Amino acid sequence: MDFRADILSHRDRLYRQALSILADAAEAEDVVQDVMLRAWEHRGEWDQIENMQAWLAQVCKRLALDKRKHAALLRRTPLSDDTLDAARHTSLSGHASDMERHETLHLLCDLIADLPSPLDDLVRLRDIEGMSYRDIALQLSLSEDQVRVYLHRARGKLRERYLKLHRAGLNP
Amino acid sequence: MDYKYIEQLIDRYFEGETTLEEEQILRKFFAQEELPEHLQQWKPLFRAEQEIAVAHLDESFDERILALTGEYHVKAQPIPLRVRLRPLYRVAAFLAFAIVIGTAVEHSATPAADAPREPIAVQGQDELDADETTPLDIRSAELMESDSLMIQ
Repeated sequence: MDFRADILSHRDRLYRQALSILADAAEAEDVVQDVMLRAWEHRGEWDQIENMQAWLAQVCKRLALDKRKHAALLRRTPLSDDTLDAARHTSLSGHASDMERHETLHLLCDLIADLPSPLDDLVRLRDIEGMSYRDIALQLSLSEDQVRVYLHRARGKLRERYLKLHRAGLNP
Repeated sequence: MDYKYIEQLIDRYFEGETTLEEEQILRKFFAQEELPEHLQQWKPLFRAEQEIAVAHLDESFDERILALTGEYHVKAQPIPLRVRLRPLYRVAAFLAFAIVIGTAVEHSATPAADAPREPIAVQGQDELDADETTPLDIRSAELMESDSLMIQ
């Protein structure tokens, strides 16, 4: 097991995972750095880790969710309200496209984060990493049939909540 | 223009029935500037997916991580001590040289062992003072002498 080849090489995938939880580039990068340092601290146990990619993804998710919870506590507002605030802010600021992008990123991250586990992981692996059902099944220790059923359920929930938030954002 | 195909893809996407290729087609479609009014509502969703999908870190991240982990590695080795003592090597080398010369003089000039040792130690001290180096006692000078010999 080599740090650079077997661990550091997963940086971009971990970064996208963290970004899809936090919707913030700098915070996502911090999380990936923490994941890397944690993996390095556990270098004596690398041989016992069966699936390094899955192990790193689990650590990354935990750290990113902790950070997300912390940020939500600081804001002390429900995430959906926050999204609406961002939508209102968009119409006031000159940089509509930047704000729009920012808002949309938050919206997608909130939608995915609201899905129960493992539906959230499944959507991330499929829609962000573009992974096949087979690879997703391997990474999440599910059967391919389960992946199919869960993805169907996850996308149904996404559509429902997306339309609700989107309409609210457009016509406040 | 007919958007039946795209509409169908969107429906199948939310049913969880699209292939990876079809999902790629959807993202490409929504990346366009001009979109029909009735499909505008899906634009933010597919664009946000695409934005995260192409996000990545760069080489400077690797360098930072390797520097951070490399630091831990160095801490386990005794290198820093030698690096810290490096400015004193010249002093140690000079003292070693002085002692060798002193011994030689001692052997050739006089059989009395104690006589030359004192002047030479004083000479070494003078040299140190001239360099504005902190004065060293003879014990630490001997320690460094052995250190420098080991390294060479």
